[in-house]
Amino acid sequence: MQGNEHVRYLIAVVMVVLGTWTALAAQTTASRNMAVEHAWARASPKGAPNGVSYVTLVNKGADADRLIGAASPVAETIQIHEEKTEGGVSRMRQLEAIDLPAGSTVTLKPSGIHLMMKLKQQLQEGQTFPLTLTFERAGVIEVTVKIGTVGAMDDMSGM
Amino acid sequence: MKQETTTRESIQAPTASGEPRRLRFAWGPAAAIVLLVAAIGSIAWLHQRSAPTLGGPFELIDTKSGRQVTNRDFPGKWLLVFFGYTHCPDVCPTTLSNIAGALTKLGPLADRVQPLFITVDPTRDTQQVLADYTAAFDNRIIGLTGTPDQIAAAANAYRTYFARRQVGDDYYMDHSATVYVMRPDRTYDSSFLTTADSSEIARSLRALLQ
Repeated sequence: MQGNEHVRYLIAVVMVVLGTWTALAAQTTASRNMAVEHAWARASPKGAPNGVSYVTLVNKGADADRLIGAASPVAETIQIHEEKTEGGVSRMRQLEAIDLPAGSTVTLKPSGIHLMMKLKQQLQEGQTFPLTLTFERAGVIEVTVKIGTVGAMDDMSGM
Repeated sequence: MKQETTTRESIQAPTASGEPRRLRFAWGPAAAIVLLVAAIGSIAWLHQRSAPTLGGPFELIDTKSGRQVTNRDFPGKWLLVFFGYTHCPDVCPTTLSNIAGALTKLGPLADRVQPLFITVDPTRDTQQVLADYTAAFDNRIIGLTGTPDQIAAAANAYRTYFARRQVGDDYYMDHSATVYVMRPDRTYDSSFLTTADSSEIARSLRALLQ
């Protein structure tokens, strides 16, 4: 009788643990069709009003999706910009959205597409900030962005 | 004396000896390679020699010291001249960081290099803003600003294009993505694109400085 109660108790604990784990796993971006990886930003020089962050978007789903917006508490506005160097001239243009065909991976990186942030505060190297990305299908995904050096070229080392 | 010269030539440069019989079979491919290298070398040399004259007088404000400077300042130094602006979030930090990285890689040789970052957005890039911005990358990089006319004159000297582009309620500057390498006598030496990484920049500068 007592042994039975122990077993029930144990099962209950296991179920709670499993349930919590499943719920957490469901929340992580990896378990969704849309994965947001390598979210990183450059530290902003003192007084610089604009900052920049980069992410890798992986659409694991069978349907095409689009990144249509981004927001963060550290920025007034975030726009999707594309930097293109053509004929030796660097030009910037705003993109309304980033197309993410089914099964595609789009990497935002320096001298390519970036998220241009009108900063409310200076971005300090080594700190992090939350970034909310809005997708047409996958909805809203929040990620934590790591801040690298002022001239970081990727999310690893900075140089 | 003549004999000696001929012998030396036949060893060092068999193609020039004029005595083909003395060439052994193995010299054939070697001579071809030497000729090929010489041809490529002279094409590269001619190409560099025929590059357009770039650079010229400018009068701007050194945002670090607050002094008025011209292209005759920084005596004895090689100049790296490039254009950009502080509101530029992607390409300018990349360039500044690659140049800063190259200075570090050059070690003491970097003392003979003076990078000059000339703003194409003098309205927003005041002296303090630009000085803080360049210092965030490397204190040795000097930001230059001036009146719109002074900036236009400097850009003209370097045949650098820039134009204001409205994006939403803000504006950005299209600008040439080239870094000009100027010799200590202020003649044009070479240039590289702002996408060159710090190792490439350090390698080409080291070749010039040594």
